[in-house]
Amino acid sequence: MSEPSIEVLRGTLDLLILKAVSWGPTHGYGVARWIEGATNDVLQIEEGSLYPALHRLEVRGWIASEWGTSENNRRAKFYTLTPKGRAQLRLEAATWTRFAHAVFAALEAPPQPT
Amino acid sequence: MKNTPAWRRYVTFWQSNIAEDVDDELQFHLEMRVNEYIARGMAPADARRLAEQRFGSVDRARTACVDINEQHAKSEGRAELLATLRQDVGFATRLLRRQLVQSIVAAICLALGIGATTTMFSVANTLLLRPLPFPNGDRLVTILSVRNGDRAGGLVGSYPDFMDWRARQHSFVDIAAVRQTSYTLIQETPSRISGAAVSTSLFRLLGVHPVAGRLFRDDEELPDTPPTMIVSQRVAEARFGGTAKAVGAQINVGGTVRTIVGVVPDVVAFPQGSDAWTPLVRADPNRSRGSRNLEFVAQLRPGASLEAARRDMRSISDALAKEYNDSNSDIVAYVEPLRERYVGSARAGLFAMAAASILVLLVACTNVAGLQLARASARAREIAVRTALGAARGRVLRQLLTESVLLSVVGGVLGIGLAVAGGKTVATAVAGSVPNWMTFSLDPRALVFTLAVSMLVGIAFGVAPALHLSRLQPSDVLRGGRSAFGASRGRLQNSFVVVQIALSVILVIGATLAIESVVRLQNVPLGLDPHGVMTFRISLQGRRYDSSSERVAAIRELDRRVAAIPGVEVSAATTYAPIAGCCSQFGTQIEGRTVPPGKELMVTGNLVTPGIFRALRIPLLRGREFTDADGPNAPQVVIINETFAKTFWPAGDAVGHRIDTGGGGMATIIGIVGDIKQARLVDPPEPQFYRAHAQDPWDRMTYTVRVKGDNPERIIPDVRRALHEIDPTLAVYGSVTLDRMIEQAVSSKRLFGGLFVALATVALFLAAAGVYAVMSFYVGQRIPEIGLRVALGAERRRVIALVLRRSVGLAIVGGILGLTGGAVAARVLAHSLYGVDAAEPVIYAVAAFALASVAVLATLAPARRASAVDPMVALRAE
Repeated sequence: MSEPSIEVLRGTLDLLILKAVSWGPTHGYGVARWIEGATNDVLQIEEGSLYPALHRLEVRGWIASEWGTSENNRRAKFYTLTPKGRAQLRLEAATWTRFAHAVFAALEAPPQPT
Repeated sequence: MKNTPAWRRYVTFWQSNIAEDVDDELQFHLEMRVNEYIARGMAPADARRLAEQRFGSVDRARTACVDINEQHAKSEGRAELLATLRQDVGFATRLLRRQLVQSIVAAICLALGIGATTTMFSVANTLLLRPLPFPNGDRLVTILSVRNGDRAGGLVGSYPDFMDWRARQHSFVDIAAVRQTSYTLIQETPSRISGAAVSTSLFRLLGVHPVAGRLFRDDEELPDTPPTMIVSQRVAEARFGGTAKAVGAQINVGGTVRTIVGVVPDVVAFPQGSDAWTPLVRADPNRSRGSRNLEFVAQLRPGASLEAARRDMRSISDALAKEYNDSNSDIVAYVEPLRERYVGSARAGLFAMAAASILVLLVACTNVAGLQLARASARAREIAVRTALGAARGRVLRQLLTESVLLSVVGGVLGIGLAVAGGKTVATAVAGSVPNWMTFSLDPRALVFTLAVSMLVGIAFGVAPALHLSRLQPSDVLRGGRSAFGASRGRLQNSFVVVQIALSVILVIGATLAIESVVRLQNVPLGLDPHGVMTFRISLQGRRYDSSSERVAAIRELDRRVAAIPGVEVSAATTYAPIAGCCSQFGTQIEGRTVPPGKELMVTGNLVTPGIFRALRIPLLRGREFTDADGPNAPQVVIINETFAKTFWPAGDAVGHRIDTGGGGMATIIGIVGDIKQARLVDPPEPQFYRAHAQDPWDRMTYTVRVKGDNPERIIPDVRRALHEIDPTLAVYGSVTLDRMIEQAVSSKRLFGGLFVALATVALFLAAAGVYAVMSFYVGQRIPEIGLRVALGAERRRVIALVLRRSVGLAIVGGILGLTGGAVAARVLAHSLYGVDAAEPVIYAVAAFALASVAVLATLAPARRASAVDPMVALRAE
């Protein structure tokens, strides 16, 4: 842990989860690991809220789950992205990008004459 | 542990599942993280601590996850329930369609039961319970003058009696006297309306309020007050151009100019059919008490019971009997609720019909129960298979419940339709014979009740066997094949069929009795020939007819002119046409015989014009008929009927003897004629006499005119013209053929008979369906056995006999029960039916025959099926 991590904004977690499972069936731990890796450990998600988020997404029908066997031969719950979830991912990614651009633009704007 | 109800266990079962899964998932995460840290070189204890720290509160995550999942599971459950329900209904519809015949039969049975029972109860309810259209309706009574305890015989009373009752009674607010009459309104053309002369107390007592104007004042009963009249709204509008215009209008009523003082609502129409009322002018109290022509209505005093009123009137009657020994010795005033006037005679019939329709409902219910049982048993295998394949017990039960409900709903809807149609039929059939305010409408309570009963039965017997089935081990059912099933259920089904047959037989016996009664009534010897006789009435109103010679002259002249109308064979008039309701009775004395005072002979008499016996074709047995010579100044003469003659002169020498019928002194018997039905078709022959109108000229006469050809009504325009020439203020009214009059007298009985036949037919149909169902079931169960028999060389004939023997067995048991029950029912019913004998073997023979045919017909199809069994197929199927 080289740098202090940033807590993930609410709502952003959903987006990251959708992205994480879009690569193929993943269990919760895998999701957490992918987010850490993909963000170079900058974004550290609070693992306690990861699971309620997963279950919420499942109830919404964006991801589906199935019990399977993990790489170390243990019973684990695997999540996959549903077609509905894929559409949602596209939508949320676009929204987030627009949001981020807007924030950037604001941060880099010259001081406004009053 | 605290005691959790059964249903909670399912919930906790689900909950534990969810929680376990969540735990497992979270544990997996922690384990993976620990492994990761260990792989990086941490000590296991440190790795564990760090992993937990990194995760945060496991409990919170766990609770959050379980919550989310439970919420979801709940809503999912609801959705799933709906989905399975849809599935059930779809499946049930398919299944019902597959067992189409049975389903249709069951639904029709339900519908018929519901329809018949609701209709009958709606009719009975209307007649027995609908309130009278008067505010004081439930406190109103009639007072009949009953002679010798014969309540059916006496109806009317006298004015002096009325005055004494009124003065001495303690039970009534007041009593009103009513004399039914009709009025000739002389406007451009004379017209005739029904009405009544009433004591001024009547409207007050009924609680009627005028639409316009006022009711009668008490002083209008006095002889010298200006004549007034009250009319119905209908008459005010039709004849005076509105209620407002009617009040104050002057109208010539049969020669007397009357002022219309008030208009009352049409619904008052009391007595039935009345449209106009005049004050009943107070009669001389010394007038004959024996002259009884008034009806009485009274309103019970608040707190006075019917019984108290009866006691009161009885003691007054006793006192009057002592005081006026010659006229009142055997007269008792009897108090009866006013409703009885409308319902009275119909009551017995209604109860019979209500009982019959309950029997039909019972038959329908047992039938549906039997059909449902058969279906359930037939499906034992299917259910076993489904259970074995893992269908939940609740699911299978729900499936059967859905089927039963679907069936009940279809039957119920059809039943409502039938009830509506039935109600309309009855309403049209009785229209005219009941007061106009007794409108028939479907009774919602009866409908709800019958719907509930039959649906419950359908559902109960659809589900009960299912409950039983679902408790069985599927393996037993499957191993045992069809035959492992339904030994006890078969017995239950058989008893259902036996009950149905028994009830149907009772109904058939009832219907046979009712039909027989109608047939007998129609074939009653009338003692005359009604075909081709036209009747109409005239009333000689006006000052001119105060003179008896004018009355004689007018009637004679009309007789002469009507006889001259082309096509008329004989014209004659009488005071009361035959079968027209009752008549006048006269205290009669026979010369040379003394009777104790008060025991004077009352004889029905008519005042007639000479041609009457030829016009009605009443046979003249002895002596001669009247001629024009039997006039006012000629010796008094009388003709008596056969019964009169036989009763008092059994030797056959009546002609020449003299009797006094209370008008004009002793009259010599000049002839004997055949008996006729005077008042009602059902009356036994009674003594009657006829006197010449010219010797006792009444003002109101009914003409009976024998006309050649088919259409006696065609003479009426000519009659009107003739009457107009004699006196333009007189009107012809009440014209109807004698045939039609008799027809009307029979029609209510025919309706009763018809309804009974309809109910019995329904019951027979239901019984047939029941027998059919149980026999098809029986055959279905025995197919392997029959196949084996055929394979072993049994003839088809024997197979059919095997099946028939079974249904005949059921029919015999049901038949014996039914004939026994029917004998009891017939005895009860025979009281309210004319001329039938409950012990008549024909009735029972008809019922037995109907039953036998039904049983055999219903068995034909199953028997054919049995005989067509292919042994190879049957045996392989098992």
